[in-house]
Amino acid sequence: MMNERIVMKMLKKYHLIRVLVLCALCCTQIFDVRTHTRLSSQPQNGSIPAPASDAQQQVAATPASSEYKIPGISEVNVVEKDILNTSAKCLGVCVQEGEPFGGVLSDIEQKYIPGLQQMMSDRKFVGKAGDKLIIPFKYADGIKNLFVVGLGSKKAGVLDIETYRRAVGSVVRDATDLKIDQVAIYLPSEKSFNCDATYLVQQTVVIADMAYYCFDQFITDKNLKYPHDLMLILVAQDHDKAQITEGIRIGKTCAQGVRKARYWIDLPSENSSPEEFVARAKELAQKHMFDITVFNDNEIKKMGMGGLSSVGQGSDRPSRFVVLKYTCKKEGAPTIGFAGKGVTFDSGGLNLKPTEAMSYMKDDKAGASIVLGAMDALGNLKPDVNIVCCIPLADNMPSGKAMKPGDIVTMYNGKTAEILNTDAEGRLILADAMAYMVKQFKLDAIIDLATLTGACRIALGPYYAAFLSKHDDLVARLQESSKNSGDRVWRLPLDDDYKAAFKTENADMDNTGSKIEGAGTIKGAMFLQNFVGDVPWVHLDIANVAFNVPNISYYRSGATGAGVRLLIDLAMNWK
Amino acid sequence: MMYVDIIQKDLLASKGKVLGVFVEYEKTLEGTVAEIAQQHIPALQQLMVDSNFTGKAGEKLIVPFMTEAGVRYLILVGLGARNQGVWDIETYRRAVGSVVRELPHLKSDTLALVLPSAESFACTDEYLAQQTVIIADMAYYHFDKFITEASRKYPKDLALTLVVHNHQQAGIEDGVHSGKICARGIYETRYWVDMPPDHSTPFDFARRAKEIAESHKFKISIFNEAEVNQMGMGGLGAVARGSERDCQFVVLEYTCKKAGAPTLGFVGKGITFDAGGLSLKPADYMETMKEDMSGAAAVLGAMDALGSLAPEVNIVAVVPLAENLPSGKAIKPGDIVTFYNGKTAEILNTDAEGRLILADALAYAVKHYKLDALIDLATLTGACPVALGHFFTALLSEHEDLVKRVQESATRSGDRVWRLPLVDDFKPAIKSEYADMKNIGSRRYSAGTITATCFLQNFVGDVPWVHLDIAGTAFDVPDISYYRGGATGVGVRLLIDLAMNWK
Repeated sequence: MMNERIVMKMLKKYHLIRVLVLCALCCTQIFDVRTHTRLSSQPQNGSIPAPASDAQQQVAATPASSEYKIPGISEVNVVEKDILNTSAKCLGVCVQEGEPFGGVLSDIEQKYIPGLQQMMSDRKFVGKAGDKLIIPFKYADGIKNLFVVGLGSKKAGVLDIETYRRAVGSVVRDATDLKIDQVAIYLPSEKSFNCDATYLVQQTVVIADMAYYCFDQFITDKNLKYPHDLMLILVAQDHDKAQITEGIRIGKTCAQGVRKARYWIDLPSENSSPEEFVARAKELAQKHMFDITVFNDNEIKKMGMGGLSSVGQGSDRPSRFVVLKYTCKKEGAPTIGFAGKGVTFDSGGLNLKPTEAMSYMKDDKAGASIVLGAMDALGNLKPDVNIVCCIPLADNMPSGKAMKPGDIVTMYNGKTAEILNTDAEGRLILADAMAYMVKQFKLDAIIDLATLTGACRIALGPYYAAFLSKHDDLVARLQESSKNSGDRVWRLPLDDDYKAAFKTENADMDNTGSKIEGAGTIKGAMFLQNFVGDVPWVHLDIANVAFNVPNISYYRSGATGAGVRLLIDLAMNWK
Repeated sequence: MMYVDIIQKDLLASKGKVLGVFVEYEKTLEGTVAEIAQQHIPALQQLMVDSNFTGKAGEKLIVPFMTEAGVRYLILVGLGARNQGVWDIETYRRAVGSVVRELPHLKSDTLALVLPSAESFACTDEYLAQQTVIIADMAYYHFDKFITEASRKYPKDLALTLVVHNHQQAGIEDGVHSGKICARGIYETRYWVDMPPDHSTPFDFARRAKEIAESHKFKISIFNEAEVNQMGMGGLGAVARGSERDCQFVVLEYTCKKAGAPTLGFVGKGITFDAGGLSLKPADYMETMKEDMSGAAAVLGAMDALGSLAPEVNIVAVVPLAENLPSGKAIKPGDIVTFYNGKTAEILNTDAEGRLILADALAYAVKHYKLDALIDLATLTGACPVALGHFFTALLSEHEDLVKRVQESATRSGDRVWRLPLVDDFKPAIKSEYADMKNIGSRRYSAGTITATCFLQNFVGDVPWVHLDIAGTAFDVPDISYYRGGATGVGVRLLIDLAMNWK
């Protein structure tokens, strides 16, 4: 028999959800549902009398290698002739909408799949974006699969690269579902995308890797495990060899960064404490010879980072603050700063999140993971620009020592904020991180990434990260990189009219912007604006795109790694 | 109502009891105000220093003084520093608004403003005068129809004097003229939005549309509920079903004198009260739901103004009017409706009703008229204020040329807009197993403002179209001096500007 109380609870909850959805959809009234703003809690350090070491602690990096191998590309090969004579069990061929049947497909029809053209028309395959067809056929002693995927039609003479990405993604995903770990992809001509072969190959490799990624570390049923190494075979009949090689090199490097970032985001919070994050950062630093400085919770407090210190004080896992520095070979190169929100779990603190809103709060370390992932790639790619990364790491937990609504914290730059909601914690730790950055380094730009506000998804849905900035030059760079990389962004207004939201009698500002309703994402950025000084700055709210993005073939449920490709492109193209 | 006169130079020669003077950041006073200070307020300079008045945007200093005509009030108001030699016009609007807002406190209904030079805004005299008049009227607006306590009533009419110096008289006069007309349209809109729902039913509204049509010689057609159902407007018919009152479907046509002129379509959501229907709103969210006809009111207000301004473009205004109430006859979640263009939608939430009535209106507009552009305004989604707050109307469109025009009109008129993405990725959000679409987006897509627009997209055909979601900007916008709590009249200025500048 079912427990009646549970049923009642479920009904109640259902009702609540219904009301929320209802309101969000239809009413024109303004509302601010608590779960739409992410808030957090601060640690009170009082009881730990650890002797404060000197504020800065140069840490000798010690690698902490994990045994789990993240699924991804292990090898990329190129063939030019005899294209089916490879170990690949499948071949993906992209077809432009309305393109007459021919080329490689008619070769295959003649030799292996009689009636292929008719099969395609029978299934109404016309090459539209999203169209796909899987046809198994006998080859030599075994079976191969032909995957035909649509590329849509040209707009202004050019095919859409995002449609191509999704086509590649769908080939790899279908292959994975068939447990195929050797996939051949017939490269289309780079000219139809108005790009060079390096870029096309790079995109192909990155996307194949992204589509292959899965997080099965904790799956014990062997039948549900995927083969972990993908061999990608690029069939390139008419492409410049040097460009292909270069594309593979860059692609594999980027892919590795994206892969790691997703893995770190997907990892349960239990396996991803601030200290474990530090270990990862140290491993990267050692691998790439980055400078690294790590501050522990006592040092954080002593330095005056009241935001980070307060947020972490509710947890038994102490906070950390990591500063990574990559110095390029070029003299007098500009320096850009990356800051990533690293809330290793966000329960909301005393302003505890409702159950459903807490389910995936392990993703609240996405910003930090993305910055680290991008740095792993950039360590190999070695852009001509210096990069400083600041990563504040803390758990936001309710407890007897947690920060409380009404507490007032003093940030690293001396400004004060009254905590009205402990679940608006991301801005508190970022405030310190960015204030530190602009004080300690001469920066030409700052980009911060954070799963900051629930309002972000309500505003933009899951396909565009929100960005806010007042610096049009930097915005133009970001938009260019967004276009190149495929990490889509959409601008929201950062207008002084929203400033009034933060007025409080008791401090320089409150942490929620409670005086004006709505516009959670904008208010999040307005808060951060107090900590970046005059440095050109872009804030990226990735709360909507970091996790569980539907319908994109090269993502799965879980982490997307959105932002890694963008940061890499931005650094590589910085002039 | 507002009376405006124009005088030269001498502020004291005006009838204004209150004298408004705009001050640049850290600049000394000169001209007529310097003379006043010399004669009547010798301590003014010191007072400014003492009160930390430096002329920053938003700063205000009120100084009473005695003249032969009695007590007068000098209000200094800051415009801030110029950016590359130019002041921000929105800062000026708010400065004007903040001066006007002082009038009730000073028990005055006369105001004189020293008009700054048009060059300092890089605009024309006409535009500056027009903006001044519009904003003064907007800031003076108040809705006290149902206040019976005499002390809380305002004097009805504002007498405004513009004190000009090196301005062109003709330009100023033109600006005052068009400003008064625009202001009337805005007033009208706000008045109807603020009116209690029992006094602004679909029928009241249709009657008002008829009055507007008669006064401007617009062609007008009004369809009642039986006709709406007969015509196949399943969306409007379904929404209206729960109410005892008939819905009304109003079509206004303005035809300009110019032969072969393009035609614009304006569509405004007119839910005269939105209880949510069976998907009833919680009490908190229902409080202000009389404002759910803000789109319709804005379209009618703009049409009233445009009837007088006579732009060189034809305009078709389509206004669907209905109440959304729960009752034994009301539509239910699960019902499937067929719209005017034959498409079907499954209703999963009766509180997503705006898109249902707009669907029919848009489909009607594109079927019966050859439109060069279509703009709809609607207090459509709660997600809109969550996304953008109260300071920007959401704009969604796939038509770059039209977007550019609307953005330009937004900048010129002061009705600010911000674009949100409208891309095919969101289309699966409104897929239904049972009908062509469903009237709410799947939860995992969120983005209510965007998915609502995807819904409407099914009803506009190939006509260049911009959707404006004014749910955040139509009502109760904080902190802007020329608004108050209640209706803002958002959209009226934008529509007027768009029509007047259409080429």
